[in-house]
Amino acid sequence: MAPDVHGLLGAYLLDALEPRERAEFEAHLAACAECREEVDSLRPATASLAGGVAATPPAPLRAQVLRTVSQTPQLPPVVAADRPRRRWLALAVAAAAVLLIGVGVSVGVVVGDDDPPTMTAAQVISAPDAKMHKEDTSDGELMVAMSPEMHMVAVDAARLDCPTGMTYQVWWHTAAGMESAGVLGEEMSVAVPVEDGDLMVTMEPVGGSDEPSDKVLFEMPATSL
Amino acid sequence: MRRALRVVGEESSRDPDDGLDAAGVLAAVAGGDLHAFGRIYDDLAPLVFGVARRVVRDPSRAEEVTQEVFTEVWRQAARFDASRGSVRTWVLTIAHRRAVDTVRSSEASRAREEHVARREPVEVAGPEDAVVTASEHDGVRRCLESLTPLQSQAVRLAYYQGFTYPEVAEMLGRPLSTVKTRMRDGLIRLRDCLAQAEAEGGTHDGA
Repeated sequence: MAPDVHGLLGAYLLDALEPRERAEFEAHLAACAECREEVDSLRPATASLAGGVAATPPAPLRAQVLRTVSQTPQLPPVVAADRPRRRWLALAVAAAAVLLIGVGVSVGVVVGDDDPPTMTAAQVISAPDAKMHKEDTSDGELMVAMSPEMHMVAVDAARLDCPTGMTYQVWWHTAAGMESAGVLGEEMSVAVPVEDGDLMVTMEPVGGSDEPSDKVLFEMPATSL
Repeated sequence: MRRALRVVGEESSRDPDDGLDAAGVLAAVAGGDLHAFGRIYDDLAPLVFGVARRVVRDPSRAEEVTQEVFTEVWRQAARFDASRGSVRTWVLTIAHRRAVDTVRSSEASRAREEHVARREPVEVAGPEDAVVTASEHDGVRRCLESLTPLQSQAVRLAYYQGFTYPEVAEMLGRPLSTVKTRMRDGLIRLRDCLAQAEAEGGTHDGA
């Protein structure tokens, strides 16, 4: 492992890294089995520090927490996702079909072999019926816009302060499981077809991941978008 | 009060090898079992709330953090990987990170920065005033005392007060590289001390 990254291991475990360094360390961790082993071996001792400050929470909190979770959807187990690229074709075809039967919005969709739809986020955002959501995240303001007529969602992360080597990835969590819908490129925005499920935006290493990281910036069911 | 004592006691005698039992309960949580979720809550809420209160200070914000942590546990239950550690460690990892992120994103963080800049003497917090079994409290405290003063200060300032390592370095007037290193070897020594204490017979489980 790179010595400078390895040196951060203790600070990482103690959550004493700034967000940028933390993201870099986690990107490294994903690729370094030796580092994961050391992190895993030191986590219980780190967590044991909590034993020194335990305190009884207010009694009403229990019912409140149970009420909240009973209305909170759960994530499915992580499955190795090697399908996203092939799936793009189906999504693009679906998006094109929606447009063909649709509403006179003059936006072209190129259905390539494996290519994502080429509709841009700007086109979705500027649709007359687009509904905007602005989310304040720890990295800055994320904008998500949904156009029911286009049947597309745009995710715009241009205002986020993204750490070097990292990007954002859009996911649909549907009955079929967790699927990558797209990875943000240099323009830091993407448009993806709407699916019947929950939209999630996470931070991932550049190039995207097979499964979402814990760093979730946005999550909302399609029905609320 | 009494209930929390009992519950934490059970938990501490099971961990760090809580493994099968808690992992089984968490698997039920992953299947949407609210009753099983309640058991996880009862086991770990005093620790989660304790960490949150210590790090964010404000009790009502600590409650919010506790709620967020357990909501995250519910959401992510299916992704818990028992091969990488115990349920307790997993939940407390989520809890500490959430508490730290909360305190850093708040207005309070500005005041903290000024505090660091002025190099005011800081209270180096440690285990105290806890509703927890004497055994666990003593074990952690004894092992923290086995660290060198610099290791102990670095670990405590980061864990209990949520300072970043550059902030800790500034407060202690030490180079960044030294502080990073002390955090890591401090945790290694803490791990070894806790393991030894356990090997010596679960020792102080008399509560």
